[in-house]
Amino acid sequence: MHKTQNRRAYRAHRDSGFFAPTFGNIINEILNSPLNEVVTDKPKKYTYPLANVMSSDGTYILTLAIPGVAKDDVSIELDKNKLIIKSEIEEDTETKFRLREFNYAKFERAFTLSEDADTDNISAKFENGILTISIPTVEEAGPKKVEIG
Amino acid sequence: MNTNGTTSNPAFGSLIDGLFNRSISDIVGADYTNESPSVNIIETDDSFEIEVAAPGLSKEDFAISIEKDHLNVSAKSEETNSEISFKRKEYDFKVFSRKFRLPKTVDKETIKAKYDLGILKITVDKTPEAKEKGPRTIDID
Repeated sequence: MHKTQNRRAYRAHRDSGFFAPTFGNIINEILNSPLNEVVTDKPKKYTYPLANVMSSDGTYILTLAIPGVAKDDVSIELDKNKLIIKSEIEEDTETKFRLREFNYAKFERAFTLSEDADTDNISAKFENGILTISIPTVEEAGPKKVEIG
Repeated sequence: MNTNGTTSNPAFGSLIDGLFNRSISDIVGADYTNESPSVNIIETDDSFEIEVAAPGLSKEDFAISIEKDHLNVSAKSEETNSEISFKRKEYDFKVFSRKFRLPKTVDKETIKAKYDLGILKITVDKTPEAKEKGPRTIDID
């Protein structure tokens, strides 16, 4: 009896819905959520932007995936050696979402730069939803040798 | 730190997110790369809008097809740069595929798509019958 009920409930859900959530996405969500979101089980309101870090020819390239956000809505700050990328957009509350897996209206992500980062020459560009920040490095001054006279 | 007081891994290993910003994959040590773009589906009076968050691609990389009552969205980008080495990889949307079941209330002939700001937006209109069925107010005489 339970089975029939379940099946009926499932069918009703399936037919009413646009899309059956895939298991893959649940895993994604858990692995990509900050720990506090996972443990409190709160519905995730904002999406944490994912980052890639690459190195090429002595320059670090940090790319942040922020699709759907306009260039003017993103700010990049450098506080000593801490690079902070954030956004705050007024949300349209009228929109009726049938499925919502992402929302980049409000986020903040910070990175601590290594000591060899040339913080005066950081540059950024924003294209197709990817914010690319280039961080050149300076040659590190090695440990100083002191001659014994 | 090694014995002479310098960090053993001076590169971007020291590029760490703020403590409370960290994803669980950093803590458990699993290096997880998200390869499946997130999706929003918006319903308006006349249509459904499917937003696929697939940044960093170009319009030509996408393929959209309809198979019976399923909408398939996939992407394949050839772009690779062997000069670049990854230090950290949280996303990679170069190759993916997602499938959606279309409700009976949509007109499959009306599908349109547009790629802007890293979002592929697919719009499909509701059938005239479905549009009419929407809530309406009835005047009291």
